[in-house]
Amino acid sequence: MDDTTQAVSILFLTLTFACLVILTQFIRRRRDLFALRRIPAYESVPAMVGRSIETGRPLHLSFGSAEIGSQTTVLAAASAELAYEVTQRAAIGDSSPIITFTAGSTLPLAQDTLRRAYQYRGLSERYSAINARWLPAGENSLAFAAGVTGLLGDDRAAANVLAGSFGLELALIMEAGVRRRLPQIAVSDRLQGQAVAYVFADEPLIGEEVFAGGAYLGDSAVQVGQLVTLDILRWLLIFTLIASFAIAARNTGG
Amino acid sequence: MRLRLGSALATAITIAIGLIVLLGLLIEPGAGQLGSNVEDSPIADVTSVLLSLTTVLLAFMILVGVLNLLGVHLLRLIGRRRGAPYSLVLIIGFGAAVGTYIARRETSMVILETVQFSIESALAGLLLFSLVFGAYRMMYRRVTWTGVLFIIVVLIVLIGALPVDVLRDIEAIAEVRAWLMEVPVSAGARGILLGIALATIVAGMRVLIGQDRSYRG
Repeated sequence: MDDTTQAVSILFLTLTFACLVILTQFIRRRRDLFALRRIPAYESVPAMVGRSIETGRPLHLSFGSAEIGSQTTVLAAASAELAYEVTQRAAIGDSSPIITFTAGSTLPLAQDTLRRAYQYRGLSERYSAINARWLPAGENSLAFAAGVTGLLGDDRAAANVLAGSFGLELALIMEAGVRRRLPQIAVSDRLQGQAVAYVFADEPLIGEEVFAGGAYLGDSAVQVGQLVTLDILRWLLIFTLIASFAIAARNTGG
Repeated sequence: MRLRLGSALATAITIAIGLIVLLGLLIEPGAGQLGSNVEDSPIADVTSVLLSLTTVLLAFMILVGVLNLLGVHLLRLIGRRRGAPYSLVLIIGFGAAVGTYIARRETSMVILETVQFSIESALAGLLLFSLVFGAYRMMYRRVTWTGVLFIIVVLIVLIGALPVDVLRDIEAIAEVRAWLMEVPVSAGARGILLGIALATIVAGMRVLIGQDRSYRG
């Protein structure tokens, strides 16, 4: 790591820290300070949960190959946050949501997500650890796709919420969902999976919108603060890119 | 405000380890201005040990995943639930794979090559049809300008990639394909990846300052 990278990293982390802490306090005092833009995929979640409760069929949630302990650790946590919000809404139904993933280290996270959601509703006795299901294994796993495709039929899933790390194998899963006429939302941190999600999903999510699930469905000040911080950093990055381009163009011209 | 001991402990451990690893990566010996004065940093050593522990733990968690898979299918088989015959096939397959690997490794490789590879190849072949179906469905569901643009770009890229001499000779198609891949596709891909990277940093910082609740129990 050279001097510049080190300095920029520290500056960036400090700015992120300051924004998160300060904005969260502002939002706690005034909840309507920042309006969230519409994301149709998250607006469709209550209808999916309603369908699951009315039909007595489970929701299927998947983290893909998002893994605790690797580069996708934070993505796994964000997917778990979304799964928590969906599960605690669906917990009053007869069927418990099922979470699938390909990383063994994600198993405790998935089980804990289900347990906490049921605990929040005061229905801890309905929590079943086997509804967090590992399927083999790793990125671009066709065995995972085949397993999930079978699960959609055997467990008669009511809807698909696929938020995590997926590759092209997502096409097999979502095609099975389409054949079963399931409402689906999907997003991936990998470009191939993202392209498939955009094509197949009823309401696609794009890239970092997976991190917004908690804020849209949970609406806590901390989660909204995260989104506003992200917006500030995004604008800062855009400004930096344009400024760098302008400086480079001027130097080249001079 | 009631504070749960387990939750507070989990948060404290996460923040402490997170900060140590972050510092270890930023001040690693020889890294930039801060690391240039550090020859043998204890933080770097601790970071290295923690990262090694993570690697060992991840390897072990595969075993936990396999046990979870077997548990799910055993319960389905015992409960005679829908799909139980498939669960039986899975358990027999697992037993055969482990048994032959221990007794005769060559047989295990034969099973892998004849069963696993064949099935995965067939699934990989099916992917093409799934993707074509997806493109068709996109236009069938609703015709939007973004959908039309998506399909046009897919067609141009596919036609440009076809191994047909007649098409290769048409320079316009090759040029448009190359431009699409180098400019808008590359820009869009970088935009998405930068967005995910920014969100990862912000969400990671939430973990470091104890705002994230996903692991607290």
